[in-house]
Amino acid sequence: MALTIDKRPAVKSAPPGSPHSLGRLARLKRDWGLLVFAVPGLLVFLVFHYVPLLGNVIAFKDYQPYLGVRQSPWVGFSNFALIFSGDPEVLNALKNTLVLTVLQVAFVFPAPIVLALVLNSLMYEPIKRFVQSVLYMPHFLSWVIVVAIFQQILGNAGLLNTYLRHKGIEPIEIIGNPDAFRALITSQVIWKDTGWGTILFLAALSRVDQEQYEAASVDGAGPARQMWHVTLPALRPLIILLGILRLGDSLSVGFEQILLQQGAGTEVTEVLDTYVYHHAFQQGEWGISAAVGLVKGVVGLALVLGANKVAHLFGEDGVYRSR
Amino acid sequence: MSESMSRRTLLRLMGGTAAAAIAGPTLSACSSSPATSQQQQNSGVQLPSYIPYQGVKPDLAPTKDGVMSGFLRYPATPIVGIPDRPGTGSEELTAFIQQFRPIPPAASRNEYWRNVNDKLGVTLNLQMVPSANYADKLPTVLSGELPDFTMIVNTPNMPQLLDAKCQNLSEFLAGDAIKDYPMLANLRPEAWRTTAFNGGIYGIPIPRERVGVIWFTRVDIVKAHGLNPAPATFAEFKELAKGVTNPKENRWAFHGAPGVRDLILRMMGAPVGWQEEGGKFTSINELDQTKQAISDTRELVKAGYFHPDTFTQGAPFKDWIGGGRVVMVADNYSAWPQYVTQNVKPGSPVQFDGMLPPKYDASSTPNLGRGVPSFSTTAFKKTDDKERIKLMLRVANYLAAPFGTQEYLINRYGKEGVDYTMVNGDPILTSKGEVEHTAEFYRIADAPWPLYEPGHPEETKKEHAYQVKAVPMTLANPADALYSETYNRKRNTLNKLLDDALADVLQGRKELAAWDDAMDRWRKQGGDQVRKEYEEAFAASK
Repeated sequence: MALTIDKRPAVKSAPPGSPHSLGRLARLKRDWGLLVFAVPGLLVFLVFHYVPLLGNVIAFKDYQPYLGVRQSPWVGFSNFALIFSGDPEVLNALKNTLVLTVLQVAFVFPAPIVLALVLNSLMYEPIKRFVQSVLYMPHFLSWVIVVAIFQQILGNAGLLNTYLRHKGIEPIEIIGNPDAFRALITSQVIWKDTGWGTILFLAALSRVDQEQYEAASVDGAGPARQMWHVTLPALRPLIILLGILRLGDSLSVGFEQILLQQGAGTEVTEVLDTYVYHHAFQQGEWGISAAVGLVKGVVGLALVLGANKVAHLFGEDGVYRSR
Repeated sequence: MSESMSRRTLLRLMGGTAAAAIAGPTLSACSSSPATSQQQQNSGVQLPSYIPYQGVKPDLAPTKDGVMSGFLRYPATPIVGIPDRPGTGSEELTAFIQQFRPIPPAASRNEYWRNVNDKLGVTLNLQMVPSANYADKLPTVLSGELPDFTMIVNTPNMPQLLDAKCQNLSEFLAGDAIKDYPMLANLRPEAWRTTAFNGGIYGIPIPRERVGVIWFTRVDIVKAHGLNPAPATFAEFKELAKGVTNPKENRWAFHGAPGVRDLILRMMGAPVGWQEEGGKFTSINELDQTKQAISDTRELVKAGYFHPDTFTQGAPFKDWIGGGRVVMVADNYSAWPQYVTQNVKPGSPVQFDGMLPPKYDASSTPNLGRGVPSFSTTAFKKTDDKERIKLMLRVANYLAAPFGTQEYLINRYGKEGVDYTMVNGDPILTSKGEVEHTAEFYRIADAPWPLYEPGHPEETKKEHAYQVKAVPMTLANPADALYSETYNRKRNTLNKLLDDALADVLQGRKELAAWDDAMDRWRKQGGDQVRKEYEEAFAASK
C-alpha cells in the first residue's frame, strides 16, 4: 500500500491542548492510511469487548442457560435489589475488595517505580540485565504455580514450618490464616509482577535527557535532589497514566489468585469477582451475578473518567484528552 | 485421578457439612411449581424392570443388601454379552462428558477409541471437559444445541432444563420395555429413581454402590505403633489418633476435619441427612448430635491430629496417605483400586483397610451413610426420531456391559495385544493402553461396579469382607427419594453457607455458637422452605 503521509507525524498533528487548525474532512483525507491500519484492532475490540457487553442484559433477567438469553424472563431491577438492600454477603465482598484495593494501591503500585529507580542506578550493564531477567521471570508463572510455591514454602507443612517443627519451635500459620491473608495476597502480587512492572518505567527513565542531570549537578544538586527534580518529574505522566488505569481495575483484585486460596474463610477472602463466580457458576444465580458484575464495571468506568478529569485539572494529559 | 476427587466428593469430604449430610437426592427431582404435584408425578413414574444380568458368575457373591460382586481374576473365557452391533457403521453420535483423567489422544491417533467405534458401529465423538472446568462449561453446552448424550451432574433447575431440552425415555425403558436393553436392565431401581423427572425417565443413571464413603486406614502404620486399627470406642479412636501422630516425623492421624465430624456422627448412630419422625423433618445439622460432633472434631484439630495443610483447597491427601504423612482419610469406595495400584507393591509394607465407626458411647449403635445410587444422569437430546433414540439406547446398552464380558474388556481395556495383554488371567494395560484408555466412555453408560484388584486377589477379598460388615450398617437419607424445588435451586448456596461456618468453627476462628448463627441463616435463606417441601412431598408420596 502506498502511503503519503504529511511531513509531520500525523498523531502529533496538533500540539496538546491547542485547537485544531484542520477541519474534520481534511484530517480524514490526511490520516486515512493510518485509520485503515487501525481497523483490525478496532474490530477485535468491537467483537471481543463491545459485543459481549450486550450480554449484560441478563442482569435484568432470570437467566437460565437452558432457556438462553432470549427466552429467559425479564425481571426488571430485582437482581440489583440484593446489592442495594445491603445484603451482608455483598457488603462483605465489597469491603474485602476495597481493603485489598487500598493495600494494592499503597504497596503494589509504587513497588515497580522504586525497583526501576534502583535498577536504573545499577551501572554495570551485565549485572543489570541479569537482575532484570530474574525479576521478570515470576510474571510468566501462572497463579496456580505461584500459589503452590508459596504453599510449599510458607504452608503449614511447608519448608519453613517443617523446619520450625523439627527445631521444636511453634510453627507460624501464614497460609489459611485469615489474619495473614491480606498481607499474603499483597506480597504474592508484589513478588510476581513487580519486576515486570518496571519495564515501562525503565523505558521512561532511559529517555530522560542526560544533560538535565549534568545541568543539575553543575547547579550543585546531589543525587537526592536530582531524583526529586529530574527523575520523578520525567516519570510523572507515566505514573499518572498507570494510576488512572489502575483505578479502573480497582474493583478487580486478582480473581484466580484469591479463588485458589479461599481456605482462610470467606469472611476475609470473598471479593466481588469470587462472589460473582460462586453465585453464577456454582449456584446458578446468573442474573444476580451479572448485576453485581455490571455495577462493578460501571463503578470502574466512573473512576477512570473521574480520575482523568482530575488529571486534566492538574494540567496532565491523563489517559486521553478530547480535542 | 478418580472421580473420588470430584467436585462433589470434595465438597462432601472436605467442605463437608451439608453436601455430605444432604447428599443423597442429587438428581432425583421433578418439575415446575407445586412441589406435591411433582412428587406425585415422580412417585408415579414407572421405572424399568430390574433384571440382574446372569451371564457372569462372581467369585465372591453379591448380597441383596448391596455388597458388590467380587472377582479374583478376570473370567477366563469372557462371554459375548451383546451379539449384535448397535449401529451400522455409518452413524455418528456426540457426547459431552466430564473427564477425570488426562484427555486421551483423538480418535484418529487412538486405536482403543477406534476399536470401540468399530465394535459399536457408531462413530462416537466425545467433547471432554476436565472435571475442574465442568461446572463452568456445562451452562455453555446447555445454552446451545445439545450433543446427543449430555452428562449432567447436579445442576440447578434439572426438571425444567430436562423438560426444555431433553428426551423423555419412558416409552423406551419403562417396565418391561427395558428388556430390549439387557445391560441397562441390570441397573438397580434406586439408580433409575434418580432419573425420574417431570413424570418420566429422563436419562440413564451412572450407577454407584451403596457402600459409599470409606475410612481408609494405613493399618501397617497403626500396627507398627502397637495400636488397634479397629478401635471399639471413641476413646480408643482418640488414643489411636494420638499414638500415630508425630509432627517431627511428618505424620499426622487425619486429613479432612469435616469428614471426621461425619465419622463421629456415624459413631453416634445419628440419622443421615434428614431425620424423619412421623412426617416431621429435621436436618441433622439442627441436631445436638451435630454440635457435639463438631465440638469433638474441633478438639481433635486443636490437639494437632490433623495434617497442618488439611484445610487448604485441593490438598493432595491421596499422596499423603500413600506416603504415610496421614494415617486415615475418608474417600469414596471407588478410590480403593487406585490406593492399591499406586501403593501396594511387592516388598512395600503399605497396607490399607477400611475402618468401621467405633461406638461413641456405651449406648450408641454406629451406622454408615449410604452411597448415592447414581453419579450423574446421561440425558438424551430431544428428538422425534425414534430410531435415533433406539440407536442411542443400544450404544448405552453396549457401554453398560458388566465386568466379565468381552464388551467390558473392549470398553475399559481396549484391543488385546495392543492396549492390554492378559497376564496370569488379568488384563494389564500396555503403555499404549495407559495413554489411550482414558477416553471415559463409561461416563455415557456404566455397569454396576465390581470388586476387582488385578494381581491382588487378597485385596479384593479384603474389600469384600469390609463390605459384608459395612453395607448392612448403611442408612439412606429419607430425603433421597423426595423432591424439593427450593433445595434443587439453592442447594449450593445453602451448602456453602454451612461449609463456610463449619470451616470457621473447626479451625478455631469462631466459637461453636457460630454454628447456631449459621443454622439460623440456613433456615431463613431456604432451609425451612426445603423442610416444608420435603414434608409435603413425603405426605404426597404415601
